[in-house]
Amino acid sequence: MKKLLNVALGILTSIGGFLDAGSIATSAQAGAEFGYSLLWPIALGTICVIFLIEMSGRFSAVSGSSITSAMRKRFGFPFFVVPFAAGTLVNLLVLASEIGGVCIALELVTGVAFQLWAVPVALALWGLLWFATFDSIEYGSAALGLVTLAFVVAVVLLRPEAKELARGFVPTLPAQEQAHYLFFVVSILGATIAPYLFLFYSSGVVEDKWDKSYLRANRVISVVGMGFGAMISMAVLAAAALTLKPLGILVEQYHQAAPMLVAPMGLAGFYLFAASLGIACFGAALELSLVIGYTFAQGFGWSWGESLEPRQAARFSAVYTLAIVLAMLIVLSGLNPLKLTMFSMALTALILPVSMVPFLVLMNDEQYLGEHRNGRLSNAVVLVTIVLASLIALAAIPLEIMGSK
Amino acid sequence: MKTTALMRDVLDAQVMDRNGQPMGRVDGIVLELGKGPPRVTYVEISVREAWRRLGLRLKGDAYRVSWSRVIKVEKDVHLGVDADDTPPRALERWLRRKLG
Amino acid sequence: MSAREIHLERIIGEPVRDCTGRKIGHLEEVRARCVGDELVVVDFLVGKGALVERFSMQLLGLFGIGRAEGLIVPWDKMDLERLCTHCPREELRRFSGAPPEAG
Repeated sequence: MKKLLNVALGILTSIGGFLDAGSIATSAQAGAEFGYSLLWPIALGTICVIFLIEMSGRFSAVSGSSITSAMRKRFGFPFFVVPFAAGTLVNLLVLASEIGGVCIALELVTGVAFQLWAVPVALALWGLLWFATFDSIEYGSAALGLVTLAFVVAVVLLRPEAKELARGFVPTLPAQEQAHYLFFVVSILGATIAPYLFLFYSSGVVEDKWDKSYLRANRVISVVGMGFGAMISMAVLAAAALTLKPLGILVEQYHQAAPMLVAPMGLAGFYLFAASLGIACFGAALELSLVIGYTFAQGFGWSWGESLEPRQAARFSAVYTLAIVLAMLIVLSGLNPLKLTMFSMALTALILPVSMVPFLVLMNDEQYLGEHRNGRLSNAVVLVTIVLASLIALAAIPLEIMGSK
Repeated sequence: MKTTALMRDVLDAQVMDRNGQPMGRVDGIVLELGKGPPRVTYVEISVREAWRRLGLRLKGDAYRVSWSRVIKVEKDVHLGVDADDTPPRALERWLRRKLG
Repeated sequence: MSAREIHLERIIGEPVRDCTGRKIGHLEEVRARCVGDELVVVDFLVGKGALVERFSMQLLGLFGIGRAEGLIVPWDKMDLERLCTHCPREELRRFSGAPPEAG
């Protein structure tokens, strides 16, 4: 019975937590510029992330170790430093983009410039992590995150053509703007296959002390949670394709995406858009701050754990505090949060192999997993996707930078 | 007799003190060479030693624990010392005092 | 009498040569055993990998191709300070896949 509850909560958390600044930004822009034709990277990324979440849950449940901890032990410090540094840098940028998203949501509703919200939002973030319990944070943000289902409702109200939608799942290259299109493919993959998601999941599994008996629950959560979560991402894209593209609206700032919900739902849609953006980004910011803390603590062998009081895991708490401060400073600098998001998504895709390949090797390690090692399918799916993402990123990012000049 | 693979099982492993508190990671293993087989004399728990493996020489001495204080090597390396008395937890203790 | 100390983590992965000067691989593992109160080195595993090579072997291993391979150097045949063996390569035991139990 308890497992059932765990599964239900896990699914809810995955759905409510799937959307973040990255997926909103990439899906909205993709839909506005290319219609449905970028649905397939979301699908591909989701399949990959389902495998990755299942793997990270399986790894931590069977071995009792977090992924980061095992990476340090298995590969040694000199090697570990590379994914550690790259991952931390990218996570910091993504954290900044999430905080930016919350600030924009507040700007939308209040009219007060987003930079002015940076400090209060950072404070709220930090305060929750410092004083609230892990459970209340996780379940609270998951429950609130369900507001993002508004996008699904919007698409239903907008009545898309099923056949046209289906065509979006077939990978095709457009006749024009190919570099730009590929840049979106890369950004969407980076937004969907976000390493922080399963680093967080793995740490949670260790903290909740899951064991082998949770393996089936783990599989269900990965497939159902991530699957349904992805639907919301696709709904954002479809809503953008249906409302923004016909009007030729290019989303260069977050607020330009608001018509996605306003068109079908009127004023309520506007507030739902702001709420979705704000809540999704805030939830992701909480996770990212913790992940940065986990990476340091687990990598260097400190005490860690959200359920511990800050005093009991002082260095861990200090790290996430510092991360929030740094991210806040980035937002304060006034950088367009949307551009920051797109850039950090592309960067994520580019360095995916750096963190994912060691993870794959771990997933095949007999000492850690025994009979629960990866099968060929899991290996193949993940390897192919991340190599693809990285190769495309290598080509697309320079082209995008040149193109936008 | 059970063999310990030093690289796989000891180096970079999580170190726990006798109260189950995390103490850091094994950043170095010191062997003493002599007439007979080399003996493992110390494990070092020191971020400085970790960075040294990358070629960065930082000032200061590494914190060493004699191998005789090792209780067991399983998933983690368990030491029979109290972490709070040791340098690796110095930063943690300092921060805790600041937090009141 | 001052004892000579070696930091294992600084020599792991370094190339190892035999007594004729030929490179026989990289120091991959050090196996030790409890003798009384002490932990004493039994042998060294010298394998194919420098880090990159090791990784590509492991990647291939994901698909069932390639196996770990190497040489076992007993403690008394290894000069740890110069990282060379006291004997030629041919006198050392080979292993393929999982190395046999130590000693």
